Amino acid sequence: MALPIEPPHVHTARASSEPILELRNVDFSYPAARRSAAQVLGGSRLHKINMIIRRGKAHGLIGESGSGKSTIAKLLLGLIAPEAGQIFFDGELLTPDRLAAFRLRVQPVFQSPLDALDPITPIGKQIIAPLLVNFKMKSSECQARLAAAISAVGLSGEILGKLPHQISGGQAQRVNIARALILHPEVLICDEPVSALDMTVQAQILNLLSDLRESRGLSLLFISHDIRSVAYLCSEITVLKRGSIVESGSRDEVLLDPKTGYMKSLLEAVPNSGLGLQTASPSKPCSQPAGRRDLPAEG
Amino acid sequence: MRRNTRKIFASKIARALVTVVLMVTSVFVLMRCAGDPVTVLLGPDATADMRAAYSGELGLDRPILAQYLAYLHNIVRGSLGVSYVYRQDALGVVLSHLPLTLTLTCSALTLAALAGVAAGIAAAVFPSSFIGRACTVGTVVGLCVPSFFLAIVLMLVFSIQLNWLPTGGAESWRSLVLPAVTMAAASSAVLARYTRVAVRESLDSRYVLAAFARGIPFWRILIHHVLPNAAVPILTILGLLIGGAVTGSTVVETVFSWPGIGNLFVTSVGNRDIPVVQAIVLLAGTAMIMTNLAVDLGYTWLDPRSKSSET
Repeated sequence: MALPIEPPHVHTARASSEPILELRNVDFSYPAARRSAAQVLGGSRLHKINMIIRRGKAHGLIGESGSGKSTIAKLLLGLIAPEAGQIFFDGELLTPDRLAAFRLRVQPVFQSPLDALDPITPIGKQIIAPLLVNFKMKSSECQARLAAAISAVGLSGEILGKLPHQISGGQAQRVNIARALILHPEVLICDEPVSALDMTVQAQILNLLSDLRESRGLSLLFISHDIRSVAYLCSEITVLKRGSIVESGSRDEVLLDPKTGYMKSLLEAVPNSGLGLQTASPSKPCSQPAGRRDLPAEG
Repeated sequence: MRRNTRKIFASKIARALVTVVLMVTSVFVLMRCAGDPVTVLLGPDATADMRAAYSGELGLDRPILAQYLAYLHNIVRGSLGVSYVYRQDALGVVLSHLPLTLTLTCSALTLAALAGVAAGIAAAVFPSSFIGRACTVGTVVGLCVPSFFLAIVLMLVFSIQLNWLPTGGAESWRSLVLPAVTMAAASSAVLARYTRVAVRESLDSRYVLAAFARGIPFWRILIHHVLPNAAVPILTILGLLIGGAVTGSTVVETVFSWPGIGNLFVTSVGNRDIPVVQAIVLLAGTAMIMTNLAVDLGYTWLDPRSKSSET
């Protein structure tokens, strides 16, 4: 079934802080046979997860390996269904019959950028595929959207004819972001989007995500091990431990005044003396890795 | 044709030619080690004079190096010698049996490719369903049952009990059914197993997960991403099966009395008919090399990455 070209949403008419994606009392566990080693060690069950991602905001999700971060990403992408609880998108309950339309408005950016690209299909075809499949669009419109998407992520048209093994990891992650943007989504679910990249490229991708959030009013769920990246990009942070939320709140609340020993231990484990929290001001709580800019204040 | 592709093509052909020369030499040496053909052809009662005269007639009294050079010279001229038994050009004898073997192997491989690839895809896509489990069990059975045993069982059921199909010969298409099914059974099991692994691996990859998350329908993902990525290992196995099919039909042809090259090979080895055996081995080896060459070239078509990795 072909869906309308523009999803039925309006970016600007809504209050920028209202919930766009919400998990309510969500439980989930993998069948024993499909658990990864990290899930077995960390406990593979998500228990009573309540989380709200607000329109136009960047929400950070941190926790150790096996804590369930990527499972939450899969739930929010509709790739797996909760055992109990509900997921709401834009105030409406997410049901199987709404998944197709939902997937166009919530797009993923995965951890290993090269692995997320089909190795034998040219980049241009991969970026444009979701558009061709989901919308009845003229070729000229598709090409215009393609050009806009790659321009938005700072790539040139030369890359479109290349294969994934002919581009760098940073370029591949930009391609993945362009592929998500071409559908004009409202939410990006970024599952460890910079962990496979070197420091300089990490900074470039973080800045790109920050700019896109600003310019397009995108909501972001940013999942990462790296507390400094989360602190740099996100205004709200949720901390996960063995499938349960142990702490959640604004960036300043969670990073400057952690309530749990677990969060304190995570902060202490950060290299370079715990993010510079002793000297940071509330508006700029964290030390900025090289190449990262100060974030513009969020509304 | 682009320059890179031409270069790859030329390099692969050069390698294939070297392999042919090595194969021709090996065949010559092995056949000389397999026993004296004069003794077999004349019998134990032949006198020394008769044996010497016959050896001279066949050129077997010359030094081994001279025989080898003459053998190479004849191959270059397109002659593989005269059959000791049929008293005809050995290549002509072999080629007269080739159409029947090609009919059998093409039928069997088509059947194996269709059934094996379909079963492998079904087992990978629906691993927990009845279809998936049935395909998995079927492939194990196909791999475990020897072809001579399966041939006898099929003959007992369909020829002797039900009287639907002939037990042997090559009189009509009905004679082809049982040998083709027997040959296809093991090949399809091998193909199904490799196809299942390749498709499963592709289905579990990140790019498939990313495609799902982008709202691309499952069947489109399967056709446009999963199967093209799984095609390379499947093509490799198919290439090996095709290459080996010419000689792989020996057991089946013998059991079903199918008058093809496999049957001729068994008879010629027994008769020490060296020129015919050499011609068959040369033909089978060349078929294997040509198939491998075609498979290598198929890689560059199926997987564009191989173009840049080769150069």
